Amino acid sequence: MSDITQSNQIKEEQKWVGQLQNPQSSPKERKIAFDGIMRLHRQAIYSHIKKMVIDANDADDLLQEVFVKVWKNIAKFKNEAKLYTWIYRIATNETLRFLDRKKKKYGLKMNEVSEELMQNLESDEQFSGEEVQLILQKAILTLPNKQRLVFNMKYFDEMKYNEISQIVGTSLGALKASYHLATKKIEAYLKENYQ
Amino acid sequence: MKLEDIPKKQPFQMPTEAHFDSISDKIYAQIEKEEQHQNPNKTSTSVSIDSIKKETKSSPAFWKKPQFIGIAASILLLFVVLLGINKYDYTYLENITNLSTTQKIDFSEVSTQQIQDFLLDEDISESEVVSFMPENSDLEKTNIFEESDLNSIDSESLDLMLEEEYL
Repeated sequence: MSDITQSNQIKEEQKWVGQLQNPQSSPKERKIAFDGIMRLHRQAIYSHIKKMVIDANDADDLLQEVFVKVWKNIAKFKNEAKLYTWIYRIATNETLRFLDRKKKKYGLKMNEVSEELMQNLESDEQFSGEEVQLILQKAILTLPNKQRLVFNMKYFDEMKYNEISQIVGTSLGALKASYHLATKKIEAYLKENYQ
Repeated sequence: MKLEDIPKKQPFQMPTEAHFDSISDKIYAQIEKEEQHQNPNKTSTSVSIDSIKKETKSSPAFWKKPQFIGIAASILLLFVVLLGINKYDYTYLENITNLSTTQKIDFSEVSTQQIQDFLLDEDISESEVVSFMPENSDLEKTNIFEESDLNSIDSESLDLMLEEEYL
């Protein structure tokens, strides 16, 4: 995306946020603004959630929950942070909470959760990788949830550490250490499971 | 094998725009439902976002608030009590007190005929009348006792009395 396009997009986004936060805005203006924000971010947020929960229906439900929360809490959003960072943060919290609830509900251990996610992955129609991609995903699924989250944001979404730090609320040093550790675990898994 | 050796690509295909639009519809439906739940009296509109406008909650006027009504009622009650105490007619109480402590019945003012009627009707013996007689009463001085002397009773009545006494 070029700098001009990105700059225009940011301006447009700020305008939408302003319309949503302004109590004088008409209902139509609000709908247009919210639609604009959803269209701009829904794919990235969906991808973020999907990589964590794997199951497509769960991802749909969580995406819905995230944007309902965005709608409800947009008045609290301060322009100090970027909007997508704020939405990512909501999505991350919702996803982690969902996984935690699921784990507790079925009384699963961490390796059992990983196995279930791997089974979902193998049967997932949206999965678009070759064998090595599948092995990589399986390796990622062996990581603890927060480590997996950090790895996905850094490796697939190519986010900067300071952005990830704002989203997960962890220090840069801890993030770097977490990513390094995750990489080592994944490489060990690949070495063991892929020729 | 290193991570760098694996071609980097997003692992999942993105759903179609139509799929995302259907999720958007669900989002609007959920928002509308929740807002309806929060404001049940509000008429629903075709687009739920209409209701995002934070309705300034029409708080009732201060004089309609329960706290105010409670305080006002207490003040009014206190006022009524104070007014009642202030305006109370003590003369009635004084009259009763005086009556019970100082005033005594003057039997001399009661006619003999009335007393006789009373004694006949109520079947009270002389001794009882005397025992009820207040101190300093001048009832004894009246001629009722003189008249009730047995000598003044005719023989027929006396016989009847004695007969009843020993029955």
